Amino acid sequence: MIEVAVGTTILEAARLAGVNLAAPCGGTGRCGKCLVKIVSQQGEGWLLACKTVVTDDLSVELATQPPVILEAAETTAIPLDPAVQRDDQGELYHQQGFPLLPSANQREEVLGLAVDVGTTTLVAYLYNLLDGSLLAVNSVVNGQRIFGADVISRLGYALQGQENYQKLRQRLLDSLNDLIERCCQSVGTTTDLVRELVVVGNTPIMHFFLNLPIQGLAVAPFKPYQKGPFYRKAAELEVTTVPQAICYVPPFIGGFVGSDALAAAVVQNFGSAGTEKMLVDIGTNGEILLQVGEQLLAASVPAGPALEGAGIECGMVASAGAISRVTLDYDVRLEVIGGGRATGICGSGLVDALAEMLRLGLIDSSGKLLPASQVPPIVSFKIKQRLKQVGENLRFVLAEQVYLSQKDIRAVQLAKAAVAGGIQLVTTEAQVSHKPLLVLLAGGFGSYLNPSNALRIGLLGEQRNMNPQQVGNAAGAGAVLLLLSYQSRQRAEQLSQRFIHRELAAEANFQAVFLEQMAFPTREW
Amino acid sequence: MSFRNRVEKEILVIDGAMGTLLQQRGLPSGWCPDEWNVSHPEVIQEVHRLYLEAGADIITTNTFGAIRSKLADYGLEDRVKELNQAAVTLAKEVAKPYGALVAGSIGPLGKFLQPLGEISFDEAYQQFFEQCQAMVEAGVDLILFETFGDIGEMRVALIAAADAGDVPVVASFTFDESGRTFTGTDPETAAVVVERLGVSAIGVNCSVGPRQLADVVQRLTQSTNLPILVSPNAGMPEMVEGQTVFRETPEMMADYAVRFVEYGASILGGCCGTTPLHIKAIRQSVKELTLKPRHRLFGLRLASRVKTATIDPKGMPVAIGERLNPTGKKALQAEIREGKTEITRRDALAQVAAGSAILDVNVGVGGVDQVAAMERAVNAVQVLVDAPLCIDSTDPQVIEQALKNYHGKALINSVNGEEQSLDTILPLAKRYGAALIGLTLDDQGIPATAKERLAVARKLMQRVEELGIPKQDLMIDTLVLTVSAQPEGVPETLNAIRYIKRDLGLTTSLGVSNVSFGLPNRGLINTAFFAMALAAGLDAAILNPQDQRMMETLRAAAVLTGRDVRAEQYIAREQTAQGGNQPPKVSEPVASTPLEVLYQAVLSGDKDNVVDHINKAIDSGLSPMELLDKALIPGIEEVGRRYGAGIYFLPQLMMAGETMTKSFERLKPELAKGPSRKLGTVILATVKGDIHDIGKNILSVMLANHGFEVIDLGKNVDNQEILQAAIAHQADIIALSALMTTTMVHMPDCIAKVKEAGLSCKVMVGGAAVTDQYAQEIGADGYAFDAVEAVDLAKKLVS
Repeated sequence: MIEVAVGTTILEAARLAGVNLAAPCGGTGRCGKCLVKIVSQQGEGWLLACKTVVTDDLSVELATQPPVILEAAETTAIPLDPAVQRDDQGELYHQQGFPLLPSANQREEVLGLAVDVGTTTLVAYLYNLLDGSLLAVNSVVNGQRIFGADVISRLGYALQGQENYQKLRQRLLDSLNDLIERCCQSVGTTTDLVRELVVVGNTPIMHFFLNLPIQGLAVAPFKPYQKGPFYRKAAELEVTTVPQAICYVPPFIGGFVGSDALAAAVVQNFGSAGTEKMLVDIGTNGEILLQVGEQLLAASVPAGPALEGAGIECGMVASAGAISRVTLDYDVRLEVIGGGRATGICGSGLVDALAEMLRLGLIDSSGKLLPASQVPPIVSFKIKQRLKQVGENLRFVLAEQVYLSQKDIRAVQLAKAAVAGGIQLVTTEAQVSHKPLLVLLAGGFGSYLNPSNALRIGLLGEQRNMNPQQVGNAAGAGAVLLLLSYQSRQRAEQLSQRFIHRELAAEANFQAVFLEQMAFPTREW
Repeated sequence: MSFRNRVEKEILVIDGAMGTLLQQRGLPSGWCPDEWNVSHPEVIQEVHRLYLEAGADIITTNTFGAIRSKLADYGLEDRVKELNQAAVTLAKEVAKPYGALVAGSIGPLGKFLQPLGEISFDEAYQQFFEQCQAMVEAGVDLILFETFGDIGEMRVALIAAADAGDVPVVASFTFDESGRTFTGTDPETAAVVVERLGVSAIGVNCSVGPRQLADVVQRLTQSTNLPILVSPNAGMPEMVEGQTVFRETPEMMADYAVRFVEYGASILGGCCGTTPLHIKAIRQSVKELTLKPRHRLFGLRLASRVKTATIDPKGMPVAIGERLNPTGKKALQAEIREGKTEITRRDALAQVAAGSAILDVNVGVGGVDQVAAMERAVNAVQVLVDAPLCIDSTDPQVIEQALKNYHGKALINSVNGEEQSLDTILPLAKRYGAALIGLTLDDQGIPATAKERLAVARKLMQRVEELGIPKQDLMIDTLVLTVSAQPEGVPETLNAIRYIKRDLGLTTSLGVSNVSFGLPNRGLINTAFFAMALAAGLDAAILNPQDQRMMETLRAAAVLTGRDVRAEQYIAREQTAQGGNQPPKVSEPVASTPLEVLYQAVLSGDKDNVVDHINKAIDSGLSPMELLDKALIPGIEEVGRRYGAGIYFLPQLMMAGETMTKSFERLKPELAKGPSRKLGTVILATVKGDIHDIGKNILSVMLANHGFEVIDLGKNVDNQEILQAAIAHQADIIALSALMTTTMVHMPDCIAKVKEAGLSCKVMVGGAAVTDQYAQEIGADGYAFDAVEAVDLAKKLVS
């Protein structure tokens, strides 16, 4: 319950009330995804929260369901060597030399948290630092979402003044503190036992966390205020649940490619000589890390939120009701998150649908959706019947309320051209050989994606010899590594120096490559 | 005389529609027409008599819907035998004095076969069998399956009819205006499938009028030597005052009937909307014409639901894709065990894309229900690719399940000379209308010499023909032995191919890769052996089409053995390969005049050749102005329209734009002489701090194409610089682009500066971050969503 002045929009009211209402386009009225149900004396209805002003008492129902969050991370055995340890006298000390509050007694637990702060969600792994055992994994939605789905929108909001900056920062801290409490509660322990936090995230989000100025990041050439690494007292950073803890944020690689990408690189053994490999984390702000011989390249690709459902007519985040898998045989076969009725389609479902439509010849390689009369004869009539002309627009109907339009296909082409173009540019620069390239798909979207469908739509570029492997939340696994192995921090810091960061939009031939990558591959390989 | 005799010698006339005539005689709407055979037999006989008087040689019984599942709609499902036999009996009674034949009419079930629909092969079989048996018992002269729209259903029906008795069968399909059946079968494919299922004639009836059938009938006559039945509707149905009307007159139908006979059809009649008058006219025009029997030779033909593949002893050799085989493939084995089909589908597509005309399907994994696995594999592949399938198994149960589910004519891999194999596999090929690969080994083992293998092949051929399977549906595999173990095996295999082709006239195939087993660099041995086998006359090989060397060898050998006539396919392929990776061109009508050619060049973004086209056009006497106004500008405007409609996307827009740019460069000297056509000057920039410029670059080209002078300041441009440029060039418009919400804040500042400086220049804005609302808020003169809208906006702002 909250009181607001007449003329306040519902979205503004939600922000004031601290309610988690997602506004992917930042409240500019472009995405249509902030629908809420308004119940007032004049009646009820679904309206856009960013456009609807409050004129009278009313109640608001949110439609959002919690998105599916990736928590699983592949970890390999690590020699236990945390920064916080007990010495021979049983006294607590930090390897970097920071003074720690003494523990109550020698048997007191010593806990640490590895936190992956994503643009959309935060995931935390709670560890017993003395024996290296995992105690809990929890996740929360990043409360900053209410100010925009992507970091540029949030930076835009924050640039308008210190007050806005702090609002954004506070939202992040609230989410983080909430997450820390949940972790501890879930195993019946107390937050005062947490001695260290390793926090990773992309560069802009980490700037908010560390309370650093963001002006440089908001415009070309997107320079971080400082590169890191950062050690801070949790109290200084207002992580109020664990004021006694030390916070470690690994360095940024460059531009928007932040500590999360570095953590992923460390845990996936980038920097050690050997296989050519590439790590790709596809999201609204995606990252590409490539190792070829001694060369280490990093690039961020602004894929945009299409692969997370925004800008797609029936698109939605990966939560209950979202079509997450699609196969086309005699008819459409769908998998819906939560098993119920389909109300929209999420990124993985989108990639599946397009791959299948390409296979059947419903879309040509330029991306044009074909009417039923032009589709190959092999296609069953049940599929053909799903190609419906609605006024001027052609749609492919997947479920009663869910369809794909020509515009949706174009939106995906733009997103995939960015990712594929980025991959094409870095692999060309690094002169990747013709041997099969190991491609590590990291992050939430990468983990739910069907790799062979991603290849079919050319999401990973034209390279025919790709060997895609899904590695889960590599950034989270990397944060865990850095928590449990102090030595690995040196490795990380050295690695961050070795990576060459490329700002792709600034590359001379980005435009040509981008336009080239817009088409879909003509065939299966 | 029997139908079989008569159809060989005469042109026959078959009757017209029954339904309308019954309605005219009081059949209530919603009443089961087939029921009238029992309740109003005299009415039915009257209608028959009218057609017999009109001259029909064949009358069709009133039993189109008298099959169990359709009768069930009226609650009459237990009267199948009664209704059908009544219909046949009354028809025979009336036909006898005229010496006419009675055809038992059987229509489709009205349901789709699994997995598309609910009904299984066996259930469908039961229903067709029931109806056929009733008719055969009542002494029908032939069975006519008519108005079938699905080849899978026709297969079941024909198999059931064959089991019901020794009665001639005619298989008639209905084709729509695209020339395919409802489930996509073309006339040639329909013919290929039914030829092997014991039909005496093939036909086309209903759905369309004679006008629309010309092409279908021609294709049928070119695809088979079987007699052909043609019963069109009396035109396409039209609604006139709430009634359905068919417009073709008896004279028109008769004219078309003559044309059909010229193509080669020999059984002529009519379907919906036809009357005894139509039949009389048809009879008068065709009865005295001469039958045109056809004796074409066809090679081994296989078919999927929608496509025919031919293995012709004189035509291109054929690649049979081998990859759908779990031997040595862990991932595929796992998938088969788990009941999934993802890899199967991908590999099927990849093999067809790589040039396989036929796909071999093998599900041999231990401990797995292979019958179910084969059904899954066949169903997964046959709805995805149009290549016919080769069923790779020696287990009769697995083969039978595949053939039941496969809606086409398959190749069985394989049968051999062992008695057990001949006894179990040949009957399946016969029953389900499949072709065979025959291995030249028998109960004595693998013969050592080519002559002995020829003998086994001969025996296979005899046994196949004994069962009534035509010999061209037997392809011989002369067996490939491992050269490292048996070096003398190679010449014997190759000689066997030569002898079999020469003495028996059969096609040959091999599983090539066995030759190199145990040797290093197997690909090299396989390729050379393949070339040798092709020289010996090999017609098909089971290989991996993604093996480039093998496919190249196939294509080259086809030229060298004269099978790729005049090297046409080879040359065409090599030319496209050089063309490289081009975006697909939208298919356009053929351009002939220089203006049309130029227009098409813009549409297809042909920037490499456009200057050439311009030069030719100018040589032919056209002025640069004409080129601009009649070809180039309309071209770029059409591109814009297509882009707006979603038919074209950014790459096409850009290529067309670059084509225009090249055109302008070429025409600059001529245009400079004439009056200025400049619409205005535009200063274009991406704002400070923003480095995204692709959209802006496209706009830059588009504005220039449409006649603006464009000063493109690039990206990350200071407002001061923009202002100075606007003043220096006396710009009409400043166009600003911003892709980030953090940088679009420079736009209001620019607008303010323009006002301060007192310029009359208009400011328009765009870019992914910008919205119409924002543009209004900051006082911009206009907002455009994309390059095409921006050009229109710019034109408005200067007008």
